[in-house]
Amino acid sequence: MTLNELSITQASVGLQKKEFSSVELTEVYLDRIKKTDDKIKSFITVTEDLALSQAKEADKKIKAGENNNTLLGIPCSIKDIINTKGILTTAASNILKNYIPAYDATLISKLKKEGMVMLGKVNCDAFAHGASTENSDFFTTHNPWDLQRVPGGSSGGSASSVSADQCIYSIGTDTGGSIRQPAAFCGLVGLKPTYGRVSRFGLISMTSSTDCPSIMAKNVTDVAIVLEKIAGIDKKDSTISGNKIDSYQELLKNENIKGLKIGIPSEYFIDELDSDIKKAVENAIEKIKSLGAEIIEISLPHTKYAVPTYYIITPCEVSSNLARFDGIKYGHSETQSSKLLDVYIKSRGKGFGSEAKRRIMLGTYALSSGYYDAYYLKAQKVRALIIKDFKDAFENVDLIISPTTPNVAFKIGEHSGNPLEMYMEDIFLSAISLAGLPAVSIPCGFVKPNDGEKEMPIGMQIIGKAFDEKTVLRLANVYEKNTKWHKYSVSSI
Amino acid sequence: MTDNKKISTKEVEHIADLARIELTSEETEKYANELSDVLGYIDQLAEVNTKEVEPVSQVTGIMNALRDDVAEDCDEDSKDKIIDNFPQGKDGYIKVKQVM
Repeated sequence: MTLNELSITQASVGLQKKEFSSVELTEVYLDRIKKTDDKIKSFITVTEDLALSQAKEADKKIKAGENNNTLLGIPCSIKDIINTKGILTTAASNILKNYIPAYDATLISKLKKEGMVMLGKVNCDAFAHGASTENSDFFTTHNPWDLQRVPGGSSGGSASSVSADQCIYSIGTDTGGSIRQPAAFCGLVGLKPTYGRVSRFGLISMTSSTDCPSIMAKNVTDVAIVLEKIAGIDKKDSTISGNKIDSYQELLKNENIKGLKIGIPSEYFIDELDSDIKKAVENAIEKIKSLGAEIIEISLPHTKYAVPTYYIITPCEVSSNLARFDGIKYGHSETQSSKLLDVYIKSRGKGFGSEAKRRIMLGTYALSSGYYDAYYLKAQKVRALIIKDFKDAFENVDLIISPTTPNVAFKIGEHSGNPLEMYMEDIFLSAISLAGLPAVSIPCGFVKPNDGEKEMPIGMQIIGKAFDEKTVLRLANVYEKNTKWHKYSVSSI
Repeated sequence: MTDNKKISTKEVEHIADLARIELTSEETEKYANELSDVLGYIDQLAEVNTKEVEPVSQVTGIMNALRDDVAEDCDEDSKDKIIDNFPQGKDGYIKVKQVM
């Protein structure tokens, strides 16, 4: 095994045993980025100097034996929607293409304390609006498994960078599926924690009521390690929870799932679901049953309303959150205008890409006088029913399993002309976001698409009760230990 | 409405004005079509019976999470970085264009 195929645990053990240094490890990844990123295009910014200086610091600490944090000296990538002090943070948007934050997101401060090595900032759909990275104002990222296809989105650069061995793990965000869908498309483990588990402070806000910092890695143990480090109370986020943070890594030692009750919602196995993916997820459920879990059919009756509800609530919150980009304090500014109002409308007109404008206008419309009751208020009520669906289901089951996506990664350009088609990417994902629940996507097979030669990875979603990441991760870990899907990696790029 | 769409170009212009976004005429036309399509899709929410349902805006149940209102010092480096981001400024102040 070469150095850039290691898991967090393997790399950490190697560092502590001094088999290699963090600088050596970091150089291997930087070299890999140099050799592959012209094809994959994961990175908006590669922070080579910073990474090497962080690696040197880590080596000093390891040498002095003063620190044995699992994440010490481990190279990662960060989605470019997360603020990093002194480092360009663009949200993959033209309006922030020169924005250098004056502060770190809370999760970045936490990871710095752990001694992380940040290799760079990775691409996403601008302001996380999308499911393919095609809405990035800069460039589209390619799926390492088949370069003609999208890596998914919005955290597409997080997925491509991990699956192409350009880093060991990545931090992205998931607002309506943005970590789970790309994890499925790229054969990775993607965890969206419970809303309120990880501080949102320092994310460039999209939908404040569903935004979740999220984790992408090659196996379940790795996401568990990172979750434990970034979770927890933060006085800068008034929606953060004081709930106990479990020792997830420790809990994974429990490999018994006997008697665990797993709900299978019929509404997630519909005609729109590719028949090969359906078969693969059914096989996975059989496997889980054979390992001792009890499978129970359940119903989540308002499932089909999740996407339309999400596409009212999200644009409404987006229209409010993106109001701050006005060309006055930071970001792109049309300074040659002579009137203040012209600075606003021209800076926003030029600075926002088409999906950001579409969502801002949809939200502005839905919140405007005369339409508020019909759209926003209605969506808030349907959201309450979607939450109740899950609450009722969790009276009888411990976890819920569904496919992550209805299809494998689509070809670049296939949906880009049609916003509605792109929104349908979220059909198995947005209800969970609206309910604020934790969910992980884990690899559960490969499917050869009708329009391609290469087999593509697919994912299974495990959904848990609020703040019960430990049970979600336990099942994911047991499934992973008893299957081989996560062991396949991209053969050549 | 001036045509059969859910949103006319005139309404798009009004929304863009409220949202403080300048659109080209092509964009106005494009968004009239696209927003109409999206709203048409969203209309299916009307069939859900929500008569006795209370709306929700958040899932945490946390109310009024307040901290003490104490000013914290901003270090010089952060201050400089904030000021460096001003598109137009003078002596540490933001410069804006005339309002009227």
